[in-house]
Amino acid sequence: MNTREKLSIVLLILGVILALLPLTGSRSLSVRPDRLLLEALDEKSWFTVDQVARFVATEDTSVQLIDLRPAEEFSRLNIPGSVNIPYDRFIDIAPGTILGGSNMKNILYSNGDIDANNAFVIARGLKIKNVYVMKGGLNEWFNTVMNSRFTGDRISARENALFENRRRAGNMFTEINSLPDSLKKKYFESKHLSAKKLDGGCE
Amino acid sequence: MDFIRKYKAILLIVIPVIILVIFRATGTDHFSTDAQKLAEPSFSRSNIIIPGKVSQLSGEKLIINLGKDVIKHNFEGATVKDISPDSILAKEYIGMIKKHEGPVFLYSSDNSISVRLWMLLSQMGIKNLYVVSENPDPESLKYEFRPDTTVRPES
Amino acid sequence: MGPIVTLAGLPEWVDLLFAFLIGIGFGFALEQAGFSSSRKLAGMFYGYDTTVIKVFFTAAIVALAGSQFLSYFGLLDLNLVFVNEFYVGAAIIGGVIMGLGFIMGGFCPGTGLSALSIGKIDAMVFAAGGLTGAFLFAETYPYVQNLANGNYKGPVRIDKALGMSPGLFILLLISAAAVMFWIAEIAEKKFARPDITETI
Repeated sequence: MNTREKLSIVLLILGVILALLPLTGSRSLSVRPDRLLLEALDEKSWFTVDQVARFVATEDTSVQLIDLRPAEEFSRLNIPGSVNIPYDRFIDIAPGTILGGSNMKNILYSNGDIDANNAFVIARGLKIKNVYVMKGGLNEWFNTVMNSRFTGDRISARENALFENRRRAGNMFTEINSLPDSLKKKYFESKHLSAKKLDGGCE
Repeated sequence: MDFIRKYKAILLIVIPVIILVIFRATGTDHFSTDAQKLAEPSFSRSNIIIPGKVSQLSGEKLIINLGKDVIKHNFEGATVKDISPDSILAKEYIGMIKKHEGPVFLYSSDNSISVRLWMLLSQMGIKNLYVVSENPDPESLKYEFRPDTTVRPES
Repeated sequence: MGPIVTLAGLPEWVDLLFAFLIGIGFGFALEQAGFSSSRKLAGMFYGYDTTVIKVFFTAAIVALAGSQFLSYFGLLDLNLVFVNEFYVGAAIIGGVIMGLGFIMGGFCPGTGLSALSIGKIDAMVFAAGGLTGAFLFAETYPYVQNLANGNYKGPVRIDKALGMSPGLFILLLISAAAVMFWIAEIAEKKFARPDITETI
């Protein structure tokens, strides 16, 4: 049996094995489950709304906020600086889109805690390391940042800093989301995360 | 022996591949294929269930209490098991969950933990798994935003 | 190297270094297979030498099967691998031009570069022609862009278009390749040109 015949037999056998395997062409999580469990339970994977408010108020460029809600909800209102990756398309879009080096923080949020935490596990499972979750979502943002009120006669320095931070972030939120639709659209487009364009070669 | 000598080259390639495929297919240290399909219940949030609806599902119910808090609700007819989140993948617990024939409910006072564990376990191929949530609609926005009509963009 | 899961996250210069090393390997393989000879390449179309189809098809099948196995073992994210964008009109016209050029010139772009690197004059002229053609395309783009961009189908995968599993498609392709190689062997005997093949 010559080399060509042996190679043909090897390839045919491998082809039969592949035909029997449950291949779907879709993505699957590639980290080990025990490793992913540790990351899922890591306290450092959550940011509070106050921490996110500070990033927004200081326009921290090492932070990218990712809004997981449907596009219509995102265009109605969102936290300034956010980009939109709807949750049901997260698995398709995120790996080719979420950029940034190890110093970049991608903070996921939705209205509550459900979608953001689901997306977090998917992202970490797909080895996208620098993703985090804003605890409580937009509901907590409204509750703590937008509806922040100081009551009482005296305010400590710490409370003052917190209140000031919330006020600045809240004002930015109101300003951006109060813009007319045409100007909002321009602002979003400038923030748009474009997918890393794959370039093919030619022979 | 003659057969092995004659087809040595073919066997040297094919047998290791078959062994690796068998290890992969029977191993438990990796997730199932097709993450999108396994995550589907979470897109429609059909995996989220309020305590009152737990008893309406058919089958033998297993409630996994992930926190240190005592469960406030009375889940009649259900088996309750206290499992700390960081040991959910221990052989005895994961085996119990996989072998259980009825619905399995993850209960935690902090939804974030039970949701994350739901996704992790679902991606391992575990079906009929739910997250118990006090809030029937946890992803609806509870606040109304009032735009400031006096805002003018900077020129 | 993003699709290769274990290597994702390396700096860009490492990616480029890998590309350079793979390029060296590709050029080396082409040259040692004799693809710097235009007579060997043109033999594919006259039937006296079918090495081209055997080599390229074997490479395609090995890459196809290998990438599916790597994906199954969680080492390769196939969704990050580039899939060519399919423009129907452009593919047909470009294919005809490429086929004509291949037979007449005796080179395709990759093998042309391989022959150029060993100083073949016909390869130099071929490369100059190719660059001229590319330049002319760019200069006349406003007139041809409708044709070039028309009938866009997106990045189409055959197995998805046919609605079959990737594994089954690979098995069918391997089987088709085996039949094709057998036909190629028959053709080599029927259209033999020892006066050319002995001097390649």
